[in-house]
Amino acid sequence: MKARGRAEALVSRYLAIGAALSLAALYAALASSEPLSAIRSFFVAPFGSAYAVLDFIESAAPLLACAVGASVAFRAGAFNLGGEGQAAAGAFAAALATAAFSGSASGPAIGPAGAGGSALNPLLVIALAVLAAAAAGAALAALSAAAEAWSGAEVLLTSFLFSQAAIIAVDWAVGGPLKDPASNLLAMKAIPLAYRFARFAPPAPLSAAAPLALGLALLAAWVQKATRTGYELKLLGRNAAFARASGIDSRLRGRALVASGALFGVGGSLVALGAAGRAFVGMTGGVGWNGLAAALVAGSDALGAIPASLFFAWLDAGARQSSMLSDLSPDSAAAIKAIALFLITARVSAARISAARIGAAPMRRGRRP
Amino acid sequence: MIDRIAAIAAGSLSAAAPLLPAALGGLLTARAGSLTVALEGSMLAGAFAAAAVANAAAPALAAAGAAAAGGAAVAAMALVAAALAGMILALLVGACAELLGADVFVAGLAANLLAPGAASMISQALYGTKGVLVAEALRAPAIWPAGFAEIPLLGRALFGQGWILYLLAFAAMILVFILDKSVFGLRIKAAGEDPEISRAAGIDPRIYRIAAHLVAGAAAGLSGAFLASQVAAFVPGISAGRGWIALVAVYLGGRKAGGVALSCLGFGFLIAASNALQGGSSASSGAALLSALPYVATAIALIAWRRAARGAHGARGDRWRI
Repeated sequence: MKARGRAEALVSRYLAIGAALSLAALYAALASSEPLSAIRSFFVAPFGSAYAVLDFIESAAPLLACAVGASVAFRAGAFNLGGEGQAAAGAFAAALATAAFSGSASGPAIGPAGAGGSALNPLLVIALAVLAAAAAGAALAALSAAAEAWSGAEVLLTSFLFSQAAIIAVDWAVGGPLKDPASNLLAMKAIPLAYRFARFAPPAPLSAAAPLALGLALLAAWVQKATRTGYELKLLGRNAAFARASGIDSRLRGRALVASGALFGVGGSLVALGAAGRAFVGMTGGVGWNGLAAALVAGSDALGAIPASLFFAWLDAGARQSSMLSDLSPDSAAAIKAIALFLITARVSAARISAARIGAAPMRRGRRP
Repeated sequence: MIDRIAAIAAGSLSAAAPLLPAALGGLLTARAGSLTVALEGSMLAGAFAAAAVANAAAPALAAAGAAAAGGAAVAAMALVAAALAGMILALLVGACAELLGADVFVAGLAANLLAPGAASMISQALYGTKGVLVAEALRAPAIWPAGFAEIPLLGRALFGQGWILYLLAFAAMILVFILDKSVFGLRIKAAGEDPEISRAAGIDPRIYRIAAHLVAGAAAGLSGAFLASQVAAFVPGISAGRGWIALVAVYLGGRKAGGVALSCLGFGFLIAASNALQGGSSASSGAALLSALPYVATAIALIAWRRAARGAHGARGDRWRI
């Protein structure tokens, strides 16, 4: 019975995604003066070559880390809307850490490891940078967790507010006191190539960022599905009062929020240490919000975040391609994601409501993604 | 000194003005038991629709010799379009949440994602640009005799603003009336507080919830038109989180229209004060960090407020939750 319900939910999810894609095709056909080539460049071009496929898989990595972060928080009933700021803090911390440990702060911008004198092993530096990013994102989320524990202030609001403040502070630092004076960009000095995520087989763009994000998703999925903590978090998210009555420590939700912030921070570091290769003003570019949307499309499931992130990255790549090769808007991807989200929340809940009619689940209030 | 106070007072009002209708609309949906998070999206949709109409009408206006009456007509059309655009987005959220059983929070987030994407797509298809959309017709002239704005202290705040600000103030008054004095507002409250009883009384709570979403969408759309009028253009990302701040004001205001209005004014004051403190200093100086002040101060206010409420009621402050 349970398995059947889950299968139905999955089917309705893919139906919703299919419907959103059909609308996308319709849009491409109507808005473009060359419908066929527009549709081809949107849907097929991202799969057109091995390079293109690897490119969009690579661009899915930061998104996946953020989506996993959002799913960890949402499942526990913590509405972390600060992902964008947590990712920015993470990207900034990663750039700072690389500058500090690689010795590149005073050395040449691009050069072999060891050029700066006190340089550490590049792999160690990258690991430290990712850890620093996780710590920065976690610290920002911890503010909201502490505020909720101390006063009951809604995480939904404080996480957003602290995140906005963090974005302003990071943009100020990156474009102001820490700006690379030799560059016209509002950016810090480029991170030396040796300290970025290395490409496995250049020129193919796939780097260690993708396996790292995948590993984090699998780890989170394992915690969600197979551990007691995961079960308790799910209960907390579904029904906090019941969870408390069953003796589950509600501070667990705060910890999930901090873990979520850490994951968003890692997502930001994958931007700075990956394709961008530096910290610049506005570097997160919506990856936090998109990760959040991907997590919701996946029903706050860390495993489901993997296909959802790939789906989003594919849409982004398709929209980019079609805007270059034809006359469509590159922002059409955002609209398609939104429509998929609308369709999914409506369909999935429609299934839940029919369950509610026979008394299986509460109908309003307390039901959250 | 007096000049400085006058500048901060004027800045506070023009920063608070776009928050106020959106936040009061949000409060209406909160009372209906279906708090919307789509204010940000409706604001952006409103800003785009207003600019799009004003931009499209500009050549016709120029051909007609740009009579003042024509300009006012275009601005009025732009405002109507802004309200409608906000409503369309809100209808999506309301209908999904109330008729299709979607989670109102997720639907609201989807709307916030849809608005910028759709605006860019429409802009690209109809105007051939996905960036700035100039809309000179939206530049709202001051309506008072020039001398009024010279009155010390509050003259500039009260009489030195474009007419759309007064329209927003009027819209806010209508919203307060709807919230607290109208039968419609009472029914919305009933739909939120006890859907069963309102159903028994022959009021379909779903209809009233959707209506609350529509009113909130129209209000946020007008707020967006004001943002576009301030720069006489639509700029991607023009709402810049103000819809979220309006949502914070709904929470901070403790379910009361007066409290919500006060929260909006407080936030407007923080923005104006942080702008004034930055003065003319360059973007890279430490003063630029003050832009973060309104967000931090609002978070601290919220936390302190919740803490005080918890102390007063012993429990987790659930009384104040919406």
